[in-house]
Amino acid sequence: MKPNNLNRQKTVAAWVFISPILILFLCFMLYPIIDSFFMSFYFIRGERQSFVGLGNYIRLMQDTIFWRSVWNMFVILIIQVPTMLLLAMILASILNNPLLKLKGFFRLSLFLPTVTSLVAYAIIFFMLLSFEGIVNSMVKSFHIMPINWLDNPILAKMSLVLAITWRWTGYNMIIFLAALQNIPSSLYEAANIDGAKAWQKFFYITVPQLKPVILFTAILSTIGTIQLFDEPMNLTKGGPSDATLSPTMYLYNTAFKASNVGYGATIAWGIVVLVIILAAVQFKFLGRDD
Amino acid sequence: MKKIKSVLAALLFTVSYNAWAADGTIEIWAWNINVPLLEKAAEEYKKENPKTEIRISDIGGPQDVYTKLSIGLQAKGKGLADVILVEDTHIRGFFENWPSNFTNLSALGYNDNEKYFPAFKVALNKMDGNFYGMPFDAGPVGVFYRPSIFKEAGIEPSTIETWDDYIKAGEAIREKTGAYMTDVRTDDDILVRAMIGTFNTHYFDIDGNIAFNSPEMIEVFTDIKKMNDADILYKGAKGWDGFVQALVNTRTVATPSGAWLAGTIESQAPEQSGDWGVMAMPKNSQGKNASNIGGSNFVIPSSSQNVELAYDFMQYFTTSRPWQEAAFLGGLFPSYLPVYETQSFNQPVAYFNNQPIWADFAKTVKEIPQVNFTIDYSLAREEIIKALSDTVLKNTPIKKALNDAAKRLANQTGRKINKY
Repeated sequence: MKPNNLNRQKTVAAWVFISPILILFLCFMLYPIIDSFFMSFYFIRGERQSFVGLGNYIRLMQDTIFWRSVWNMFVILIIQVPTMLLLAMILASILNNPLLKLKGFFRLSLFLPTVTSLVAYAIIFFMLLSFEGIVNSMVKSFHIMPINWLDNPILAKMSLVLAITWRWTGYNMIIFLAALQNIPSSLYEAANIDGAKAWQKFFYITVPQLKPVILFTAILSTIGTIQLFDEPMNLTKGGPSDATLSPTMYLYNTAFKASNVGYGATIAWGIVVLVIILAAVQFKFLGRDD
Repeated sequence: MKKIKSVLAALLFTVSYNAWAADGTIEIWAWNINVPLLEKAAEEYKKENPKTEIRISDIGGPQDVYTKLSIGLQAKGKGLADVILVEDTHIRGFFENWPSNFTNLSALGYNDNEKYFPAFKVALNKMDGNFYGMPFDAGPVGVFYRPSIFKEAGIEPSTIETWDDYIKAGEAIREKTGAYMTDVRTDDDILVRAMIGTFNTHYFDIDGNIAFNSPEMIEVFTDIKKMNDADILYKGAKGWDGFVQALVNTRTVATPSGAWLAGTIESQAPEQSGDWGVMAMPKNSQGKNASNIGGSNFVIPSSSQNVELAYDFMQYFTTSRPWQEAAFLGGLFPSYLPVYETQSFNQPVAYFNNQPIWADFAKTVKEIPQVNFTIDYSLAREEIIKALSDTVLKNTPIKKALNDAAKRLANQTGRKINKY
């Protein structure tokens, strides 16, 4: 057998092995993505379809509800992502400490929220924070007026921040933990000789060394926040008065509840553009090689 | 002998409905208590039409049915059932989005049944003068209340005629018992819908323009704001469960709701038997108080392979007095008018202190104004909920809250805002 032939056989085999996932990807990912792009230039409601050119995009630019939802996510993002990443990094450093006992237990308990179902945990936070919920019955036991967490625009946003942080800190912590193991221990040893304090080691060694991972987690979290859906849907239903509406919830309401499919596709592409812009900004500020 | 029997059976049968030889298989999508009822009817129907097979699928809930229906319509009717149950609030959306995808029932003779249904149900099921849906149940609105608490506060329910009376009663109850009169949910439009439904206008006017700025809507919001300012509205409940819990825990003591609430209260608070009553809704400034919340209808997609059987069975079911009476006994409130004359409809109900509540609800059915839900109801609902939250939570002036909501809706739907 000629080597050339063998190579070709190998290539064919590779394609055969990869084909199931490739076909699934083409049918259920790539095709819908491309199709949704074309749909975003059409008015589609049931039987009625017509080409509107950039009409949907012009409408999106002027859509106060869409921009409100973007603003909501921006507020949540600014507060939630740095808090969560810092928390995750601190927890990871603590767990990375060789002197810590019961490491497996702490690691498990911190990671466990990540494997809970999105809907289930959102409903549990709803039960905690609703007016007749557990948090308020604790508040009442201190003789303070119960607080309507989910009916106040600011508190409702903070409730979301709280819930998301609980759910995702463990996930980022594990990523940081993996990265921490790659930091050469000689750096810390040198710092110890120089008499550096724990916080100095954290900010002058750990954080700079983790920079590429911080960029990675920051981008993932940012994209995740913009695509937030389950939490506002189950915790606040986007209320009060759109204060916690997310762009994807708006997309869902438009495309599936109001069956305005064309404009729904436009919102989806609006979200894509936003994600790209935010990722580019983060690359610029975090991704510079020193 | 056998022959005589079957002739007799056939004769008996033609009294209740006009059968034509039907055979084949159909599937029906429905949910909840509608399912066992349809199953029983299908069994009975099969006895007379042995060549037929009627499958009732419980799809879980209306939202799941709409998802399946939307997807099926987009797939050119593939995988759709032959008969589908659709609520009042959503039927117009499907008709207007997919006008050529439903069977014209008038062409098959459904017009003969028009006289058996209230005007608002007929209007809902017609498109360009033809029936495309068969009316089924309804939800005439009354105020469910707790007589013992009213008594404790010295309120005689029969003296409550207007919303101002209602507010005064609420204040007395709040002061003497600490309970709230009614709840307003900031994630639902049910209170607004119950109140605006008494007028000849709704979220949209008859031409489909946005009617948020109508004097009627402003009146409704003013009444709600008055209740809110008087601190008789409970705002802590969220979702359906929260609403029911507030009622059965006596956090709230009265609520305007569709007749169907009776079954829920009865099953959730069996110990409160005898301490529930139903009074008429307070009258609006035009002296009207008939309104409707909820209700559903049957449609036959034109993709059905067996329209004849689907039509025949559904006509048999929706216009048969015994079956509509069975629906009533199964916990539904039929819109088929002749059923209101049956004895079971006019009996006193023990749970409601022997008040004949069903007969009371039935009195208002014919006066219920028709509602133009339009294709954009779900968007309008979202916007009215925002206007409601702004009014009761943020104290936004009513006209501004409604105006902003109208503008947002106009932006989303391209509809005009009616000027008043």
